[in-house]
Amino acid sequence: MLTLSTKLTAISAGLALLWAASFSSHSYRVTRVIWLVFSYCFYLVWGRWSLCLLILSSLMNYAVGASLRRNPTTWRLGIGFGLNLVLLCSFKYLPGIHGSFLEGSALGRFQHVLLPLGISFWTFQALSYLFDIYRENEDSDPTLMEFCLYMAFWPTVVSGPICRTSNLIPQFRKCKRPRLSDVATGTRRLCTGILMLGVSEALSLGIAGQGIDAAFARTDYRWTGIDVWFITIGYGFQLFFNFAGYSHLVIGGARLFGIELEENFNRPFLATTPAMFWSQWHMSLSSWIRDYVFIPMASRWRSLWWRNLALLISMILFGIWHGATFLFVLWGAYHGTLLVLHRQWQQVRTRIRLPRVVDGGIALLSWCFTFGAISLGWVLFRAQGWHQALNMFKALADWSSYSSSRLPMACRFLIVLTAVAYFSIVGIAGLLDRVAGTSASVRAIPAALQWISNERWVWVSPLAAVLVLYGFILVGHVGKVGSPLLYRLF
Amino acid sequence: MDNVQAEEMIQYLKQRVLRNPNVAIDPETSLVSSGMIDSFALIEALFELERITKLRIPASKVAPSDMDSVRKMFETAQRLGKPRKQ
Repeated sequence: MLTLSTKLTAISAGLALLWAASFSSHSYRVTRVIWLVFSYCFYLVWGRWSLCLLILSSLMNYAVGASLRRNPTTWRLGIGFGLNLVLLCSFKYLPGIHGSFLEGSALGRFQHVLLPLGISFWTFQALSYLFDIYRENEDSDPTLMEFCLYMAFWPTVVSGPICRTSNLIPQFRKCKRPRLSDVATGTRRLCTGILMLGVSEALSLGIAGQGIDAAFARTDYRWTGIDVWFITIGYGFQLFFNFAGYSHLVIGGARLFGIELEENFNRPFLATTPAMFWSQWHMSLSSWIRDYVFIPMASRWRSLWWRNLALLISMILFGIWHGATFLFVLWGAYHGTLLVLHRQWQQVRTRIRLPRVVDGGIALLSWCFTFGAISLGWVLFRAQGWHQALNMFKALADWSSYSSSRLPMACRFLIVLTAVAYFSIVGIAGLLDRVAGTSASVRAIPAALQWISNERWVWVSPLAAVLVLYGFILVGHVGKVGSPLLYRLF
Repeated sequence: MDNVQAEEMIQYLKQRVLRNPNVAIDPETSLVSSGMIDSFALIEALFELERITKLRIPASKVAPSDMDSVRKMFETAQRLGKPRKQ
């Protein structure tokens, strides 16, 4: 059994070799074969039989795809969809079902199966391929080798972003060597990702072990209303820094090889409406749900109530994608309801013309409401069970509990510090984006500021390294591991 | 693409979807990818496209990228649309 550090050393050495091989190869076909072999070796590190499943899924979907391409009928799509659903249910959802009715049956064997790494991500990639062929929208027509690489591409195979063939296959075909700008951007994204994962780790473990994980571990503890707000906002940031940080690593890693992946996050906590939040959070999954679930379902009937119901069902499916638990279903339904309510409000709002000042005030109120509502939702997402979630909601509703706090001061300090740092950095980054977007001839902007904006990789990378190191010393958990990668669980 | 039909669709988008007659839209303006119209509005636009072209467009075959501009909407209608049953 390999230890985590051995695995990471092997992967790092393999990546360095892969990068050198990609640079020296003159044929894109040879490069892609090397990439595929490396992707399978990378996946093999996490489990032998999981790799068999990934290869089986790739072959199966390629065959169904070829059949669909010849004749894009609904029943052929149905077969492909059904096969993927069986695969996903067998390995992801059945093991999560606890109950005696499965014991002793053939299905009961699945209860002891470990979740194949990234199965939800690569199954959704396969489904988008089939749906696009059915829609006669899949023009890349990949070869078997290209399709297998699309499914197993090492940066995305573990936890996405969920890619589409229209983006990846044409890039695989280009015999493009990474440019200096690719390496610079890739390095910056990697460093940003490491820094964000460090922040997530700090929130998870907290100072002297009083972090978010410890707060959720005390399932029967009676938190006060103010504590629950702190815990839930803190968890929102922890999840964001973890998954967005990981996405930075993946996007940066692929960019080092000249591949540009879809973005997964776009400053989601600045969203002023729930709809905006879902267009900025886990973007690859939300756009998947929009394109392949919501739009086909909502356009079945013309009535408005059906469209709202389709939105609610889509969001419940979004929740179930994370796991077949009652709390994930509730989380999805909660966000579906928020989106429907927002839609109703939008209908009213477009009929009323308000002065600009009032409009600005409404935007601020709307941000507060959105941030608060999204944060409340994390209770359902993270709670250990419905009992803990119920206790937390009871505390939130109990106004008398707001006068005191039982959460350690260090934990509250860390959450406030993270929030202040996040909004400050996002503000500065927005400003730098605007400076970088202006012409070099604009005299009002000093040359030094333009250089700082354009060449961020030069200073972001060392800054990130120093901050991570400082953070670990502050938190005092060097060597300990909190929640390494939260979305690996899905 | 028929100019009259395109103009009818642009007016519908301005007045019924965006509720702002002053917004500048031409047949090439990106609507979905620019965030100008959301998934709800996209479905309303699809129904309006069916009404204007008098065709039945199978929604399960329509991707958001097919509706990204007025020109693409009519191309999609031409590619996928079937005559309505009387």
